[in-house]
Amino acid sequence: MVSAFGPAAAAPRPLRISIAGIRGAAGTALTAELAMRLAAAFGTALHDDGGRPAVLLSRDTRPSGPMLAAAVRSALLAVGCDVVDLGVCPTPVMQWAVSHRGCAGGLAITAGHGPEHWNALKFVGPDGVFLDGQQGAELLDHFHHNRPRWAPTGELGTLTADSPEATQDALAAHQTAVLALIDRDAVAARGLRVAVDLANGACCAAAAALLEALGCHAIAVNDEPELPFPHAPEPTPQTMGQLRALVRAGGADLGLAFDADGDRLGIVTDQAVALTAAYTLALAGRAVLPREPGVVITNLSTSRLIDHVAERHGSRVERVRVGQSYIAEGVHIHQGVLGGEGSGGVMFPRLALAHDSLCTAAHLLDLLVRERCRASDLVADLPRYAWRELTVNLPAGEVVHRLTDLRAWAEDEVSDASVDLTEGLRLAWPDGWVHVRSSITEPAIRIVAEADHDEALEARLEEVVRRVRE
Amino acid sequence: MHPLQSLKISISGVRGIVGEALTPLLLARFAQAFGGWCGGGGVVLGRDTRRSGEMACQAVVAGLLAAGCRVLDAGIVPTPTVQYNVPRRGAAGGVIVTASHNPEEWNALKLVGPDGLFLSPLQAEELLDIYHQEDPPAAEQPARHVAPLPDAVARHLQGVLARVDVAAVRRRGFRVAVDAVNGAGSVMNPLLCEALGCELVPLHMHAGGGFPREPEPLPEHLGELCDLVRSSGADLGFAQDPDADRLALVDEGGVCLGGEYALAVACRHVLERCGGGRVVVNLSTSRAVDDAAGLAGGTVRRSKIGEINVVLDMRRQGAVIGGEGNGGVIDPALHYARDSFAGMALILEHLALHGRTVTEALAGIGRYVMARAKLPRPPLREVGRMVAAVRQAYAGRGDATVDTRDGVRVDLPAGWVHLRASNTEPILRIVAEAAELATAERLIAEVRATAGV
Repeated sequence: MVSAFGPAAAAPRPLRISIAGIRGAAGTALTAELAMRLAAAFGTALHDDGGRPAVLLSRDTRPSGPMLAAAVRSALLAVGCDVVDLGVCPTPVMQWAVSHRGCAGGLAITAGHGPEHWNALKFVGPDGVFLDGQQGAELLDHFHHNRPRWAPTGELGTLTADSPEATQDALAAHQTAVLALIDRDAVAARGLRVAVDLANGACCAAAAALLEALGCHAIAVNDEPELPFPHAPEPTPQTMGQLRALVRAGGADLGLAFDADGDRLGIVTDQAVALTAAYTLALAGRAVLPREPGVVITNLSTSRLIDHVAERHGSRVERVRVGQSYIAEGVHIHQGVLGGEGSGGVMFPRLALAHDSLCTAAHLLDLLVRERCRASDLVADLPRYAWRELTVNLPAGEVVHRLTDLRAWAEDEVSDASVDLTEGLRLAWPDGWVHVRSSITEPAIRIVAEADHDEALEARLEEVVRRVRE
Repeated sequence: MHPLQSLKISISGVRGIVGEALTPLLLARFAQAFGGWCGGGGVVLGRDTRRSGEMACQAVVAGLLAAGCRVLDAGIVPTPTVQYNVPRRGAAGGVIVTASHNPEEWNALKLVGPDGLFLSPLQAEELLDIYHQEDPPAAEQPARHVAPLPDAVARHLQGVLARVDVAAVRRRGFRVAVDAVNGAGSVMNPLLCEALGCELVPLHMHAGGGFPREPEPLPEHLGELCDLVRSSGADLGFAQDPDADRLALVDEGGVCLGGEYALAVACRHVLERCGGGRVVVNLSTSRAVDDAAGLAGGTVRRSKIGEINVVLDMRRQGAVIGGEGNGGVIDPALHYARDSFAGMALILEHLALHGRTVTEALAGIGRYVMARAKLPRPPLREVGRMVAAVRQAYAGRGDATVDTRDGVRVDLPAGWVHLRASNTEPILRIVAEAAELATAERLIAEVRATAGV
């Protein structure tokens, strides 16, 4: 359940520049000029490592993609980077290609699950991983310093673009690597019926190719990348109505909802039940951990479903801040065997440190075949927790004060829960948790809570909300 | 480098040195202002072959899409090809990424209105107003359509061929040496020659890879072409600049006659075809054109320097042919654009229909020599004072005609001399023409003494 409190629901800020890149309303806030300046800063930073950097580009299907791609290409060429533009291509495929082609970096033009008229630039290092905090801070230093290393004519980069072969090569190589992680032949032998909703996003071609390689009978909707998003490009139960109907009508074994750029995946069971995105990580854990127990990295706001699965399969969970780059960093530090977030993004370290909906889909199909079970059986086997999410809108400037007060209260007065101040405040009890953090898009505080039972959840939530609002 | 020497934003557009003042930021912003001026719609985009072209084009595409314009990308094509295509595609405008005859490290945007003409001074002022606003004009949603325009050259070629007697030219089976300076002309010269049944002897005819000679088609840069005309036994030679609007002519003996005589032959030909008429050329154009017009019963009017100034005067005066002496032939029945292909086709047709060689085509047209001086530009106030001094010194002389529309030009029986501040570079140009080089140099010396520079 999601609800909003607060005085005046403040308008979302149209632009945010952070260590995670830049995002905003395309054309008005995220302008060609800003995109160029940030891309030029990125290219300039890549030169610090010496050599002649090559950068891979990808984008999702947002209408502002071509404009921003042109801006980014020109800026990178102008600072002496060679550019290979994969065009419309899933972000994880670009990330995989960066590390396997020896590129100096990559740049994804996608606002992920954000609104269609928004867009963002996200930056990838030579390892194919989103920039970590330190790298992101350095990029921002270059951006703020605003002295791009403009190259003279003879040192400008070269552009490879509009090359379907280059994109096809990247997709094929990535698919081969994904299939090597599962039992392709066994899956193909089952001939599963799979309903997919591509959200007219970047996975249209890649998902079709993957399902074909896995011998699945695919029933697809919204697989036209030229058309607008049919619904919010985020795999939540609210956006999966069409997919549920498709599963029901087509008698599918599974329904899969892809987001706009291919990092997140949502699931509809054979019973046409749309699962919250937290189940994606839990079921990925079911697929990976029995064969490869170890550490799972997730974020502070993700359901304990993954803890349950990990425990059952001799594994444990480490929690980090919200965001793909933190998950990747955590996987790296803890030698994790799986990473992921409650948003539906899961990373498989054997493939890459990138949320990857295609690899997730392959693992889920492999799981159904290996366990000879239905998706609904797997879900029935998992506990059901009480869950609440809410947003408290605040006057601008108040967010920091309220969070500071709340953290002080927790440290001084809360004794029955463990206190984690990694990001905002997270209180954890043996049977649940509450996570309070600042919104990154608007002056507001987001609160997420989970518990075994409603009563405990309500009581804890009520106290936290009261303190945030007063 | 002094900032004025690495960037120029004026009513002629924007141009500068890549990596210094000419950044993708500036290009995108200028293109976005132009997209706003166009008010959305389609914009035809082309470029010459310089290495910064790709970078600059991407910046222009970003700016145009941000302004809500669709992009019709013609790729590497001559400037006149873009001008020809804009009105015929119903486009709202055109952009050519080219620094024309300037060295490779420069680049620039040439801007074309919906009629295929470069922006007039009034239109360009309007554009600069938009460019100087704090916020560039942004569409609520950026446009997303970038479509290739693969037949842009073919359409232009059809237009050029429709202006001449193709069969007559084909019957002559000319052998033509062409130096395209590895510029945008490289993509169209072979097609034109093939259509006109000419055997092409190509020189520097690869689109890209850097300019193998000084890109301005002046006689002193065309030694290789002259040698090639002689060694290949070609009937004549042509040379272009990187965006193929300008044309220079080499005769059958391998003597480079430059742009002035290419224009003179084209003028003679069109005037003969029309039975006379009006010619408009700029103030720095050779008297060879006056001689050609005299032979063919035409009259010559002179305009300020700059293609758009020549074009606007041509339209006002109903000229049947015109251009700029540095090698820009403008055939208004094709389009109001300097077009080396139009120039080549008209000259070849002239030779074919009259059975002449280049030398014969120039019979009766005086052979003149130009001298040029390029001086660091003094403060503009000083330029005004110089013009006044020169005007005053010569105005009283019965044998002199003085024109002060663009700097000052003095016509004397022995020749003429023209002093003006360049629109595109921070320099003062003095050009003089006479039958002998010594005379032309003397005219320059006289004017310099009078002007005190």
